[in-house]
Amino acid sequence: MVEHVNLEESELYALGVLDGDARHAVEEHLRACEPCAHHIALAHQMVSLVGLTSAPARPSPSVRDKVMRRVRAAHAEHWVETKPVQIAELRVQPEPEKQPEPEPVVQPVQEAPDRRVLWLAVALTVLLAAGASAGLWVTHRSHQKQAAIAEPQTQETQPVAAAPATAAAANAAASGQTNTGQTNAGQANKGTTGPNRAAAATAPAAEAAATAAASEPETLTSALDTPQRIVRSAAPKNDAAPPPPSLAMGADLGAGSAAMPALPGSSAEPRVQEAAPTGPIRVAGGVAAARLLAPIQATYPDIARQSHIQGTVVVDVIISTTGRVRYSHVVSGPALLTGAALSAIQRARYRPFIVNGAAVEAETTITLNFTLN
Amino acid sequence: MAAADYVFGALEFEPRPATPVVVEEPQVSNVALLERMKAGDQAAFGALYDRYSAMVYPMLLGVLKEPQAAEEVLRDLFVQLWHSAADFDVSRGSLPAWLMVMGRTLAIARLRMAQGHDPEDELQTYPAHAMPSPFDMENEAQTRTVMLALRGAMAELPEEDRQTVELAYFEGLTEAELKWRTGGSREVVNARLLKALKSLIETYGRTRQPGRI
Repeated sequence: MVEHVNLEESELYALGVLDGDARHAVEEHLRACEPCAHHIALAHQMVSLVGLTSAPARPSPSVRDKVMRRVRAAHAEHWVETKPVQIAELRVQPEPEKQPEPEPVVQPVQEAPDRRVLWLAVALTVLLAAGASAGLWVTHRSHQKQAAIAEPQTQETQPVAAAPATAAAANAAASGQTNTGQTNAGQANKGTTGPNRAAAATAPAAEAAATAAASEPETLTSALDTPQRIVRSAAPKNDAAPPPPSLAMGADLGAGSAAMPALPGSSAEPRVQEAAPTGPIRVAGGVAAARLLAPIQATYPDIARQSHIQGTVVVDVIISTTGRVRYSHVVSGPALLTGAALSAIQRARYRPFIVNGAAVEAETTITLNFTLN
Repeated sequence: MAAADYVFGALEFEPRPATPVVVEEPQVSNVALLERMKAGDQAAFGALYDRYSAMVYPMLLGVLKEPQAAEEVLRDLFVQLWHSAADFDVSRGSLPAWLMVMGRTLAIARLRMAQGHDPEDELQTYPAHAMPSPFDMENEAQTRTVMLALRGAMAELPEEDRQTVELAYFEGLTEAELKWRTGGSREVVNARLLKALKSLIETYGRTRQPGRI
Protein backbone atom coordinates (compact mmCIF):
# COMPACT_ATOMS: atom_id res chain seq x y z
CA MET A 1 0.00 0.00 0.00
CA VAL A 2 1.47 3.33 -1.00
CA GLU A 3 1.30 6.44 1.07
CA HIS A 4 -1.40 9.00 0.51
CA VAL A 5 -1.53 10.55 -2.90
CA ASN A 6 -0.20 14.09 -2.85
CA LEU A 7 -1.54 17.00 -4.85
CA GLU A 8 1.01 16.75 -7.63
CA GLU A 9 0.54 13.03 -8.02
CA SER A 10 -3.21 13.34 -8.10
CA GLU A 11 -3.05 15.96 -10.84
CA LEU A 12 -0.61 13.93 -12.89
CA TYR A 13 -2.77 10.89 -12.37
CA ALA A 14 -5.90 12.71 -13.46
CA LEU A 15 -4.08 14.06 -16.47
CA GLY A 16 -3.33 10.46 -17.33
CA VAL A 17 0.43 10.85 -17.69
CA LEU A 18 1.53 8.43 -14.96
CA ASP A 19 3.08 5.34 -16.43
CA GLY A 20 2.26 1.76 -15.50
CA ASP A 21 3.59 1.17 -12.02
CA ALA A 22 3.01 4.64 -10.66
CA ARG A 23 -0.52 4.60 -11.96
CA HIS A 24 -1.28 1.18 -10.53
CA ALA A 25 0.12 2.22 -7.17
CA VAL A 26 -2.24 5.20 -7.09
CA GLU A 27 -5.20 3.10 -8.15
CA GLU A 28 -4.45 0.48 -5.56
CA HIS A 29 -4.33 3.12 -2.90
CA LEU A 30 -7.52 4.80 -4.07
CA ARG A 31 -9.53 1.68 -3.64
CA ALA A 32 -8.91 1.73 0.04
CA CYS A 33 -8.63 5.45 0.78
CA GLU A 34 -11.69 7.59 0.50
CA PRO A 35 -10.06 10.97 1.19
CA CYS A 36 -7.59 10.34 -1.59
CA ALA A 37 -10.37 9.29 -3.93
CA HIS A 38 -11.98 12.62 -3.21
CA HIS A 39 -8.70 14.36 -3.99
CA ILE A 40 -8.48 12.61 -7.29
CA ALA A 41 -11.99 13.58 -8.22
CA LEU A 42 -11.07 17.19 -7.54
CA ALA A 43 -7.90 16.79 -9.56
CA HIS A 44 -9.97 15.48 -12.46
CA GLN A 45 -11.94 18.68 -12.37
CA MET A 46 -8.87 20.85 -12.26
CA VAL A 47 -7.36 18.97 -15.16
CA SER A 48 -10.58 19.52 -17.10
CA LEU A 49 -9.70 23.21 -17.18
CA VAL A 50 -7.17 22.36 -19.89
CA GLY A 51 -10.07 21.11 -21.98
CA LEU A 52 -11.82 24.43 -21.59
CA THR A 53 -8.99 26.24 -23.34
CA SER A 54 -10.04 24.86 -26.71
CA ALA A 55 -11.15 27.34 -29.34
CA PRO A 56 -14.92 27.85 -29.32
CA ALA A 57 -16.84 25.55 -31.59
CA ARG A 58 -20.36 24.29 -31.86
CA PRO A 59 -21.56 20.90 -32.94
CA SER A 60 -23.93 20.83 -35.87
CA PRO A 61 -27.60 20.98 -34.88
CA SER A 62 -28.19 17.49 -36.23
CA VAL A 63 -26.29 16.05 -33.27
CA ARG A 64 -28.98 17.25 -30.92
CA ASP A 65 -31.63 15.58 -33.04
CA LYS A 66 -29.71 12.34 -33.03
CA VAL A 67 -29.26 12.42 -29.29
CA MET A 68 -32.92 13.13 -28.71
CA ARG A 69 -33.99 10.41 -31.09
CA ARG A 70 -31.90 7.86 -29.26
CA VAL A 71 -33.16 9.00 -25.93
CA ARG A 72 -36.74 8.75 -27.10
CA ALA A 73 -36.13 5.27 -28.41
CA ALA A 74 -34.46 4.20 -25.19
CA HIS A 75 -37.26 5.72 -23.19
CA ALA A 76 -39.81 3.68 -25.10
CA GLU A 77 -37.81 0.52 -24.56
CA HIS A 78 -37.67 1.18 -20.89
CA TRP A 79 -41.15 -0.17 -20.54
CA VAL A 80 -40.59 -3.31 -22.50
CA GLU A 81 -40.00 -6.21 -20.23
CA THR A 82 -38.17 -8.41 -22.67
CA LYS A 83 -34.52 -8.91 -22.02
CA PRO A 84 -33.06 -9.38 -25.45
CA VAL A 85 -29.59 -10.28 -24.42
CA GLN A 86 -30.89 -13.38 -22.75
CA ILE A 87 -31.07 -14.76 -26.22
CA ALA A 88 -27.37 -14.42 -26.45
CA GLU A 89 -27.14 -16.06 -23.09
CA LEU A 90 -28.60 -19.20 -24.51
CA ARG A 91 -26.09 -19.22 -27.27
CA VAL A 92 -23.07 -18.72 -25.14
CA GLN A 93 -22.35 -21.96 -23.43
CA PRO A 94 -21.44 -20.94 -19.90
CA GLU A 95 -18.25 -22.38 -18.63
CA PRO A 96 -18.63 -24.44 -15.49
CA GLU A 97 -19.75 -21.84 -13.02
CA LYS A 98 -19.03 -23.54 -9.76
CA GLN A 99 -15.55 -24.11 -8.66
CA PRO A 100 -14.60 -25.82 -5.45
CA GLU A 101 -14.86 -23.04 -2.93
CA PRO A 102 -12.42 -22.67 -0.12
CA GLU A 103 -13.75 -21.25 3.07
CA PRO A 104 -14.73 -18.50 3.39
CA VAL A 105 -16.64 -18.40 0.18
CA VAL A 106 -16.88 -15.56 -2.26
CA GLN A 107 -19.24 -16.65 -4.94
CA PRO A 108 -20.26 -14.72 -8.00
CA VAL A 109 -23.99 -14.74 -8.34
CA GLN A 110 -24.79 -15.38 -11.95
CA GLU A 111 -28.07 -13.64 -12.44
CA ALA A 112 -28.70 -10.48 -10.55
CA PRO A 113 -32.33 -9.54 -9.99
CA ASP A 114 -33.25 -7.37 -12.88
CA ARG A 115 -34.51 -4.26 -11.21
CA ARG A 116 -32.51 -1.87 -13.29
CA VAL A 117 -33.46 -1.82 -16.91
CA LEU A 118 -32.21 1.74 -17.07
CA TRP A 119 -28.87 1.13 -18.69
CA LEU A 120 -30.54 -0.14 -21.81
CA ALA A 121 -28.09 1.08 -24.36
CA VAL A 122 -29.29 2.24 -27.68
CA ALA A 123 -27.97 -0.91 -29.24
CA LEU A 124 -30.56 -2.81 -27.30
CA THR A 125 -33.31 -1.05 -29.13
CA VAL A 126 -32.05 -2.71 -32.18
CA LEU A 127 -31.48 -6.03 -30.51
CA LEU A 128 -34.93 -5.92 -29.04
CA ALA A 129 -36.52 -5.41 -32.38
CA ALA A 130 -34.60 -8.40 -33.54
CA GLY A 131 -35.50 -10.52 -30.58
CA ALA A 132 -38.14 -12.31 -32.59
CA SER A 133 -35.99 -13.94 -35.18
CA ALA A 134 -33.02 -14.53 -32.96
CA GLY A 135 -35.36 -16.15 -30.53
CA LEU A 136 -36.67 -18.38 -33.20
CA TRP A 137 -33.19 -19.41 -34.08
CA VAL A 138 -32.49 -20.32 -30.52
CA THR A 139 -35.70 -22.24 -30.27
CA HIS A 140 -34.92 -24.11 -33.38
CA ARG A 141 -31.48 -24.96 -32.26
CA SER A 142 -32.69 -26.16 -28.93
CA HIS A 143 -35.11 -28.48 -30.67
CA GLN A 144 -32.37 -29.86 -32.73
CA LYS A 145 -30.14 -30.44 -29.83
CA GLN A 146 -33.02 -31.79 -27.80
CA ALA A 147 -31.89 -29.47 -25.09
CA ALA A 148 -34.27 -28.58 -22.35
CA ILE A 149 -33.92 -24.82 -22.58
CA ALA A 150 -36.98 -23.07 -21.31
CA GLU A 151 -37.34 -19.55 -22.67
CA PRO A 152 -40.95 -18.44 -22.70
CA GLN A 153 -40.25 -15.17 -24.45
CA THR A 154 -38.78 -16.85 -27.45
CA GLN A 155 -41.74 -19.14 -27.78
CA GLU A 156 -44.10 -16.28 -28.47
CA THR A 157 -42.22 -15.15 -31.51
CA GLN A 158 -43.86 -15.41 -34.87
CA PRO A 159 -42.21 -17.67 -37.39
CA VAL A 160 -43.94 -15.73 -40.16
CA ALA A 161 -42.22 -12.54 -39.27
CA ALA A 162 -38.94 -14.24 -38.74
CA ALA A 163 -38.74 -16.20 -41.94
CA PRO A 164 -38.05 -13.51 -44.55
CA ALA A 165 -35.86 -11.64 -42.20
CA THR A 166 -33.75 -14.60 -41.31
CA ALA A 167 -33.43 -15.35 -44.96
CA ALA A 168 -32.22 -11.81 -45.40
CA ALA A 169 -29.73 -12.29 -42.67
CA ALA A 170 -28.46 -15.44 -44.24
CA ASN A 171 -28.13 -13.65 -47.50
CA ALA A 172 -26.36 -10.75 -45.91
CA ALA A 173 -23.99 -13.13 -44.24
CA ALA A 174 -23.38 -15.01 -47.44
CA SER A 175 -22.84 -11.89 -49.49
CA GLY A 176 -20.26 -10.71 -47.03
CA GLN A 177 -18.20 -13.84 -47.35
CA THR A 178 -15.51 -14.79 -49.77
CA ASN A 179 -16.38 -16.42 -53.05
CA THR A 180 -15.85 -19.84 -51.67
CA GLY A 181 -18.05 -19.10 -48.77
CA GLN A 182 -20.76 -17.79 -50.99
CA THR A 183 -20.91 -20.80 -53.20
CA ASN A 184 -20.81 -23.15 -50.34
CA ALA A 185 -23.57 -21.35 -48.56
CA GLY A 186 -25.65 -21.56 -51.70
CA GLN A 187 -25.05 -25.23 -51.92
CA ALA A 188 -25.87 -25.66 -48.34
CA ASN A 189 -29.18 -23.97 -48.93
CA LYS A 190 -29.92 -26.20 -51.86
CA GLY A 191 -28.99 -29.25 -49.95
CA THR A 192 -31.24 -28.37 -47.11
CA THR A 193 -34.32 -27.68 -49.20
CA GLY A 194 -34.28 -31.21 -50.44
CA PRO A 195 -34.30 -33.81 -47.74
CA ASN A 196 -35.11 -31.70 -44.74
CA ARG A 197 -37.35 -28.72 -45.31
CA ALA A 198 -37.88 -28.05 -41.67
CA ALA A 199 -34.24 -27.40 -41.13
CA ALA A 200 -33.97 -25.26 -44.24
CA ALA A 201 -36.86 -23.02 -43.28
CA THR A 202 -34.86 -21.55 -40.49
CA ALA A 203 -32.35 -19.62 -42.44
CA PRO A 204 -30.02 -18.98 -39.50
CA ALA A 205 -28.95 -22.55 -39.88
CA ALA A 206 -27.83 -21.66 -43.34
CA GLU A 207 -26.30 -18.52 -42.01
CA ALA A 208 -24.37 -20.45 -39.43
CA ALA A 209 -23.30 -22.72 -42.20
CA ALA A 210 -22.20 -19.73 -44.23
CA THR A 211 -20.18 -18.47 -41.32
CA ALA A 212 -18.58 -21.83 -40.98
CA ALA A 213 -18.04 -21.98 -44.69
CA ALA A 214 -15.96 -18.85 -44.59
CA SER A 215 -13.71 -20.20 -41.92
CA GLU A 216 -13.63 -23.89 -42.82
CA PRO A 217 -15.01 -24.65 -46.26
CA GLU A 218 -13.83 -28.24 -46.24
CA THR A 219 -15.88 -29.12 -43.20
CA LEU A 220 -18.96 -27.84 -44.90
CA THR A 221 -18.37 -29.59 -48.16
CA SER A 222 -18.03 -32.90 -46.46
CA ALA A 223 -21.19 -32.25 -44.52
CA LEU A 224 -23.29 -31.18 -47.47
CA ASP A 225 -25.43 -34.30 -47.56
CA THR A 226 -26.53 -33.94 -44.02
CA PRO A 227 -27.47 -30.36 -43.37
CA GLN A 228 -28.27 -30.89 -39.77
CA ARG A 229 -24.76 -31.89 -39.11
CA ILE A 230 -23.61 -28.63 -40.58
CA VAL A 231 -25.51 -26.79 -38.00
CA ARG A 232 -24.12 -28.86 -35.25
CA SER A 233 -20.61 -28.57 -36.41
CA ALA A 234 -21.03 -24.85 -36.82
CA ALA A 235 -22.65 -24.23 -33.52
CA PRO A 236 -19.69 -24.74 -31.21
CA LYS A 237 -17.62 -22.41 -33.35
CA ASN A 238 -20.04 -19.58 -33.08
CA ASP A 239 -18.44 -18.17 -30.00
CA ALA A 240 -15.13 -17.83 -31.66
CA ALA A 241 -16.33 -16.75 -35.09
CA PRO A 242 -16.19 -12.97 -35.45
CA PRO A 243 -19.87 -12.18 -36.05
CA PRO A 244 -22.02 -14.21 -33.66
CA PRO A 245 -25.03 -15.10 -35.76
CA SER A 246 -27.79 -14.05 -33.45
CA LEU A 247 -26.29 -10.68 -32.68
CA ALA A 248 -25.27 -9.95 -36.23
CA MET A 249 -28.66 -10.95 -37.41
CA GLY A 250 -30.32 -8.94 -34.74
CA ALA A 251 -28.52 -5.85 -35.79
CA ASP A 252 -29.41 -6.45 -39.35
CA LEU A 253 -33.03 -6.93 -38.55
CA GLY A 254 -33.44 -4.00 -36.30
CA ALA A 255 -33.18 -1.51 -39.08
CA GLY A 256 -34.85 -3.78 -41.56
CA SER A 257 -37.95 -4.25 -39.50
CA ALA A 258 -38.97 -0.66 -40.00
CA ALA A 259 -39.50 -1.41 -43.65
CA MET A 260 -40.79 -4.87 -43.10
CA PRO A 261 -40.66 -6.58 -46.48
CA ALA A 262 -36.91 -6.52 -46.35
CA LEU A 263 -36.02 -8.68 -49.26
CA PRO A 264 -32.85 -10.70 -49.32
CA GLY A 265 -31.64 -8.72 -52.28
CA SER A 266 -31.92 -5.32 -50.65
CA SER A 267 -28.61 -3.80 -49.71
CA ALA A 268 -27.37 -5.22 -46.46
CA GLU A 269 -24.50 -2.86 -45.85
CA PRO A 270 -26.26 0.39 -44.94
CA ARG A 271 -28.45 -1.43 -42.50
CA VAL A 272 -25.49 -2.91 -40.74
CA GLN A 273 -24.04 0.54 -40.36
CA GLU A 274 -27.23 1.97 -39.04
CA ALA A 275 -27.49 -0.74 -36.47
CA ALA A 276 -23.96 -0.60 -35.16
CA PRO A 277 -24.34 0.09 -31.46
CA THR A 278 -22.39 2.93 -29.99
CA GLY A 279 -23.08 2.85 -26.29
CA PRO A 280 -22.30 -0.16 -24.17
CA ILE A 281 -24.73 -3.00 -24.68
CA ARG A 282 -26.55 -4.17 -21.59
CA VAL A 283 -25.68 -7.73 -20.79
CA ALA A 284 -27.26 -9.99 -18.20
CA GLY A 285 -24.95 -11.05 -15.38
CA GLY A 286 -24.94 -14.67 -16.51
CA VAL A 287 -23.95 -13.80 -20.05
CA ALA A 288 -21.05 -11.74 -18.87
CA ALA A 289 -19.98 -14.43 -16.42
CA ALA A 290 -19.90 -16.95 -19.24
CA ARG A 291 -17.35 -14.81 -21.03
CA LEU A 292 -14.98 -14.54 -18.12
CA LEU A 293 -11.56 -15.93 -18.90
CA ALA A 294 -11.25 -16.99 -15.28
CA PRO A 295 -13.75 -16.90 -12.43
CA ILE A 296 -13.72 -13.77 -10.33
CA GLN A 297 -11.81 -14.60 -7.16
CA ALA A 298 -12.14 -12.14 -4.35
CA THR A 299 -10.08 -12.41 -1.22
CA TYR A 300 -12.07 -12.21 1.96
CA PRO A 301 -10.69 -9.21 3.85
CA ASP A 302 -9.27 -10.22 7.20
CA ILE A 303 -10.98 -7.43 9.00
CA ALA A 304 -14.34 -8.44 7.57
CA ARG A 305 -13.77 -12.03 8.55
CA GLN A 306 -12.78 -11.10 12.05
CA SER A 307 -15.83 -8.94 12.48
CA HIS A 308 -18.05 -11.57 10.90
CA ILE A 309 -19.19 -9.32 8.14
CA GLN A 310 -20.96 -11.19 5.39
CA GLY A 311 -23.00 -9.90 2.54
CA THR A 312 -23.49 -9.28 -1.10
CA VAL A 313 -21.67 -6.65 -3.10
CA VAL A 314 -23.39 -5.49 -6.25
CA VAL A 315 -21.23 -3.68 -8.76
CA ASP A 316 -22.16 -2.14 -12.08
CA VAL A 317 -19.34 -2.42 -14.56
CA ILE A 318 -18.56 -1.51 -18.11
CA ILE A 319 -16.45 -4.06 -19.89
CA SER A 320 -14.26 -2.48 -22.52
CA THR A 321 -13.87 -3.63 -26.07
CA THR A 322 -10.69 -5.36 -25.02
CA GLY A 323 -12.45 -7.32 -22.31
CA ARG A 324 -11.26 -5.40 -19.30
CA VAL A 325 -13.38 -3.69 -16.72
CA ARG A 326 -12.96 -0.05 -17.52
CA TYR A 327 -15.53 1.38 -15.16
CA SER A 328 -16.92 0.02 -11.94
CA HIS A 329 -19.44 1.46 -9.59
CA VAL A 330 -20.56 -0.13 -6.35
CA VAL A 331 -24.33 -0.24 -6.26
CA SER A 332 -24.61 -1.78 -2.83
CA GLY A 333 -22.74 -3.87 -0.32
CA PRO A 334 -21.06 -3.75 3.08
CA ALA A 335 -18.31 -1.13 3.10
CA LEU A 336 -15.73 -3.56 4.43
CA LEU A 337 -16.26 -5.85 1.48
CA THR A 338 -16.52 -3.43 -1.42
CA GLY A 339 -12.77 -2.85 -1.67
CA ALA A 340 -12.05 -6.55 -2.04
CA ALA A 341 -14.89 -6.90 -4.51
CA LEU A 342 -13.66 -4.01 -6.64
CA SER A 343 -10.09 -5.16 -6.73
CA ALA A 344 -11.19 -8.66 -7.75
CA ILE A 345 -13.42 -7.18 -10.42
CA GLN A 346 -10.64 -4.98 -11.72
CA ARG A 347 -8.58 -8.10 -12.31
CA ALA A 348 -11.34 -9.78 -14.25
CA ARG A 349 -10.76 -10.40 -17.94
CA TYR A 350 -13.50 -11.17 -20.40
CA ARG A 351 -13.63 -12.36 -23.93
CA PRO A 352 -14.73 -9.21 -25.75
CA PHE A 353 -18.36 -8.86 -26.69
CA ILE A 354 -18.83 -8.90 -30.42
CA VAL A 355 -21.70 -7.33 -32.28
CA ASN A 356 -21.70 -7.25 -36.05
CA GLY A 357 -18.13 -8.38 -36.12
CA ALA A 358 -16.94 -5.46 -34.01
CA ALA A 359 -16.03 -5.49 -30.36
CA VAL A 360 -18.44 -3.43 -28.29
CA GLU A 361 -18.49 -2.30 -24.73
CA ALA A 362 -20.82 -4.15 -22.45
CA GLU A 363 -22.46 -2.99 -19.31
CA THR A 364 -23.44 -5.51 -16.70
CA THR A 365 -23.94 -6.04 -13.03
CA ILE A 366 -21.70 -8.32 -11.05
CA THR A 367 -22.94 -9.71 -7.78
CA LEU A 368 -20.44 -11.18 -5.36
CA ASN A 369 -21.56 -13.09 -2.30
CA PHE A 370 -19.25 -13.02 0.68
CA THR A 371 -20.18 -15.76 3.10
CA LEU A 372 -18.40 -17.15 6.14
CA ASN A 373 -18.83 -20.83 6.79
CA MET B 1 -2.44 26.97 -2.83
CA ALA B 2 -4.08 30.24 -3.62
CA ALA B 3 -6.70 28.76 -5.86
CA ALA B 4 -8.06 26.68 -3.05
CA ASP B 5 -9.36 29.83 -1.40
CA TYR B 6 -11.48 30.51 -4.36
CA VAL B 7 -12.54 26.97 -4.77
CA PHE B 8 -13.88 26.70 -1.32
CA GLY B 9 -15.53 30.05 -1.22
CA ALA B 10 -13.32 32.08 1.10
CA LEU B 11 -14.25 35.18 -0.85
CA GLU B 12 -17.89 34.57 -0.51
CA PHE B 13 -18.90 38.10 0.40
CA GLU B 14 -16.74 40.03 -1.98
CA PRO B 15 -18.33 41.57 -5.01
CA ARG B 16 -18.19 39.74 -8.25
CA PRO B 17 -14.95 40.38 -10.15
CA ALA B 18 -15.03 42.80 -13.00
CA THR B 19 -15.90 40.37 -15.72
CA PRO B 20 -18.49 41.28 -18.32
CA VAL B 21 -21.83 41.16 -16.61
CA VAL B 22 -24.42 39.36 -18.61
CA VAL B 23 -27.98 39.72 -17.52
CA GLU B 24 -29.45 36.29 -17.52
CA GLU B 25 -32.94 35.10 -17.37
CA PRO B 26 -33.48 33.19 -14.20
CA GLN B 27 -32.76 29.65 -15.12
CA VAL B 28 -33.42 26.23 -13.80
CA SER B 29 -30.55 24.80 -11.80
CA ASN B 30 -28.63 21.76 -12.91
CA VAL B 31 -29.90 19.86 -9.92
CA ALA B 32 -33.49 20.54 -10.86
CA LEU B 33 -32.87 19.56 -14.46
CA LEU B 34 -31.06 16.41 -13.42
CA GLU B 35 -33.87 15.43 -11.11
CA ARG B 36 -36.35 15.91 -13.91
CA MET B 37 -34.15 13.97 -16.28
CA LYS B 38 -33.98 11.12 -13.79
CA ALA B 39 -37.76 11.07 -13.81
CA GLY B 40 -37.65 10.61 -17.58
CA ASP B 41 -38.19 14.23 -18.64
CA GLN B 42 -36.69 14.53 -22.10
CA ALA B 43 -37.15 18.29 -22.25
CA ALA B 44 -34.98 18.67 -19.17
CA PHE B 45 -32.39 16.47 -20.79
CA GLY B 46 -32.57 18.61 -23.92
CA ALA B 47 -31.99 21.70 -21.82
CA LEU B 48 -28.88 20.13 -20.34
CA TYR B 49 -27.65 19.32 -23.80
CA ASP B 50 -28.18 22.93 -24.85
CA ARG B 51 -26.41 24.15 -21.77
CA TYR B 52 -23.30 22.02 -22.07
CA SER B 53 -22.78 20.85 -25.63
CA ALA B 54 -20.89 24.05 -26.45
CA MET B 55 -18.68 23.49 -23.43
CA VAL B 56 -17.77 19.86 -24.12
CA TYR B 57 -17.64 19.91 -27.89
CA PRO B 58 -14.58 22.14 -28.32
CA MET B 59 -12.65 19.83 -26.02
CA LEU B 60 -13.75 16.77 -27.99
CA LEU B 61 -12.73 18.51 -31.18
CA GLY B 62 -9.40 19.38 -29.60
CA VAL B 63 -8.77 15.71 -28.94
CA LEU B 64 -10.16 14.20 -32.10
CA LYS B 65 -9.51 17.05 -34.58
CA GLU B 66 -12.34 15.92 -36.84
CA PRO B 67 -15.83 17.39 -36.40
CA GLN B 68 -17.55 14.18 -37.36
CA ALA B 69 -15.69 12.08 -34.81
CA ALA B 70 -16.16 14.74 -32.15
CA GLU B 71 -19.88 14.92 -32.85
CA GLU B 72 -20.22 11.17 -32.56
CA VAL B 73 -18.50 11.16 -29.22
CA LEU B 74 -20.65 14.08 -28.11
CA ARG B 75 -23.72 12.12 -29.03
CA ASP B 76 -22.52 9.02 -27.21
CA LEU B 77 -21.62 11.05 -24.18
CA PHE B 78 -25.07 12.55 -23.82
CA VAL B 79 -26.81 9.29 -24.55
CA GLN B 80 -24.68 7.79 -21.80
CA LEU B 81 -25.68 10.61 -19.50
CA TRP B 82 -29.31 9.78 -20.10
CA HIS B 83 -28.74 6.10 -19.41
CA SER B 84 -26.73 6.67 -16.29
CA ALA B 85 -29.15 9.21 -14.89
CA ALA B 86 -30.23 6.78 -12.21
CA ASP B 87 -26.68 6.53 -10.92
CA PHE B 88 -26.12 10.23 -10.82
CA ASP B 89 -26.12 11.51 -7.28
CA VAL B 90 -27.13 15.10 -7.82
CA SER B 91 -26.14 16.09 -4.32
CA ARG B 92 -22.57 14.90 -4.89
CA GLY B 93 -21.96 15.01 -8.57
CA SER B 94 -21.12 17.98 -10.71
CA LEU B 95 -22.55 17.52 -14.15
CA PRO B 96 -20.12 19.72 -16.11
CA ALA B 97 -17.20 17.95 -14.46
CA TRP B 98 -18.66 14.59 -15.29
CA LEU B 99 -19.20 15.61 -18.89
CA MET B 100 -15.68 16.94 -19.25
CA VAL B 101 -13.99 13.95 -17.64
CA MET B 102 -16.14 11.31 -19.24
CA GLY B 103 -16.06 13.10 -22.58
CA ARG B 104 -12.29 13.22 -22.57
CA THR B 105 -12.11 9.55 -21.63
CA LEU B 106 -14.35 8.57 -24.52
CA ALA B 107 -12.52 10.81 -26.96
CA ILE B 108 -9.06 9.59 -26.01
CA ALA B 109 -10.24 6.00 -26.15
CA ARG B 110 -11.45 6.63 -29.66
CA LEU B 111 -8.25 8.37 -30.61
CA ARG B 112 -6.18 5.48 -29.31
CA MET B 113 -8.36 3.02 -31.09
CA ALA B 114 -7.91 4.90 -34.35
CA GLN B 115 -4.17 4.79 -33.83
CA GLY B 116 -4.34 1.07 -33.30
CA HIS B 117 -3.43 1.18 -29.62
CA ASP B 118 -5.09 -0.69 -26.87
CA PRO B 119 -6.99 2.18 -25.30
CA GLU B 120 -7.03 0.52 -21.93
CA ASP B 121 -3.31 0.84 -21.56
CA GLU B 122 -3.54 4.55 -21.10
CA LEU B 123 -6.90 5.10 -19.57
CA GLN B 124 -7.95 4.87 -16.02
CA THR B 125 -11.20 4.30 -14.30
CA TYR B 126 -12.52 6.77 -11.83
CA PRO B 127 -15.68 7.31 -9.88
CA ALA B 128 -17.52 9.04 -12.67
CA HIS B 129 -20.58 9.76 -10.65
CA ALA B 130 -18.86 11.05 -7.59
CA MET B 131 -17.38 14.22 -8.90
CA PRO B 132 -17.56 16.61 -6.00
CA SER B 133 -19.28 19.86 -6.48
CA PRO B 134 -17.02 22.91 -6.82
CA PHE B 135 -16.67 22.68 -10.57
CA ASP B 136 -20.01 23.95 -11.60
CA MET B 137 -20.92 26.22 -14.43
CA GLU B 138 -24.60 26.61 -14.68
CA ASN B 139 -25.04 28.83 -17.65
CA GLU B 140 -23.49 29.41 -20.98
CA ALA B 141 -22.39 32.98 -20.32
CA GLN B 142 -20.44 31.89 -17.26
CA THR B 143 -18.91 29.10 -19.22
CA ARG B 144 -17.92 31.40 -22.04
CA THR B 145 -16.31 33.83 -19.60
CA VAL B 146 -14.35 31.06 -17.96
CA MET B 147 -13.25 29.61 -21.25
CA LEU B 148 -12.12 32.98 -22.51
CA ALA B 149 -10.05 33.62 -19.40
CA LEU B 150 -8.54 30.14 -19.53
CA ARG B 151 -7.57 30.56 -23.16
CA GLY B 152 -5.87 33.80 -22.21
CA ALA B 153 -3.97 32.12 -19.41
CA MET B 154 -2.92 29.30 -21.67
CA ALA B 155 -1.68 31.76 -24.30
CA GLU B 156 0.47 33.47 -21.71
CA LEU B 157 2.24 30.29 -20.70
CA PRO B 158 5.74 29.67 -21.97
CA GLU B 159 5.52 27.74 -25.20
CA GLU B 160 7.02 24.53 -23.83
CA ASP B 161 4.65 24.43 -20.85
CA ARG B 162 1.64 24.99 -23.05
CA GLN B 163 2.74 22.41 -25.55
CA THR B 164 3.44 19.79 -22.89
CA VAL B 165 0.12 20.15 -21.14
CA GLU B 166 -1.76 20.14 -24.43
CA LEU B 167 -0.03 16.98 -25.56
CA ALA B 168 -0.87 15.36 -22.25
CA TYR B 169 -4.47 16.42 -22.16
CA PHE B 170 -5.56 16.36 -25.80
CA GLU B 171 -3.43 13.51 -27.04
CA GLY B 172 -3.40 11.48 -23.87
CA LEU B 173 0.37 11.07 -23.85
CA THR B 174 2.07 9.54 -20.84
CA GLU B 175 5.26 10.67 -19.13
CA ALA B 176 7.44 8.47 -21.27
CA GLU B 177 5.84 9.68 -24.47
CA LEU B 178 6.02 13.28 -23.33
CA LYS B 179 9.72 12.90 -22.60
CA TRP B 180 10.24 11.63 -26.08
CA ARG B 181 8.06 14.25 -27.75
CA THR B 182 9.27 17.29 -25.86
CA GLY B 183 12.83 16.27 -25.12
CA GLY B 184 12.71 17.05 -21.41
CA SER B 185 13.48 14.75 -18.51
CA ARG B 186 10.69 13.25 -16.46
CA GLU B 187 11.12 15.92 -13.82
CA VAL B 188 11.06 18.68 -16.37
CA VAL B 189 7.96 17.29 -18.02
CA ASN B 190 6.13 16.98 -14.73
CA ALA B 191 7.17 20.42 -13.62
CA ARG B 192 5.83 21.91 -16.85
CA LEU B 193 2.56 20.09 -16.50
CA LEU B 194 2.05 21.14 -12.90
CA LYS B 195 3.02 24.71 -13.65
CA ALA B 196 0.54 24.93 -16.50
CA LEU B 197 -2.21 23.41 -14.38
CA LYS B 198 -1.47 25.76 -11.52
CA SER B 199 -1.80 28.75 -13.78
CA LEU B 200 -5.12 27.53 -15.15
CA ILE B 201 -6.46 26.74 -11.69
CA GLU B 202 -5.57 30.19 -10.43
CA THR B 203 -7.11 31.84 -13.44
CA TYR B 204 -10.21 29.80 -12.95
CA GLY B 205 -10.39 30.86 -9.34
CA ARG B 206 -10.12 34.54 -10.28
CA THR B 207 -12.73 34.26 -12.98
CA ARG B 208 -15.35 32.50 -11.02
CA GLN B 209 -18.09 34.15 -9.13
CA PRO B 210 -16.90 34.09 -5.53
CA GLY B 211 -18.10 31.11 -3.65
CA ARG B 212 -19.66 29.55 -6.68
CA ILE B 213 -17.00 27.53 -8.26
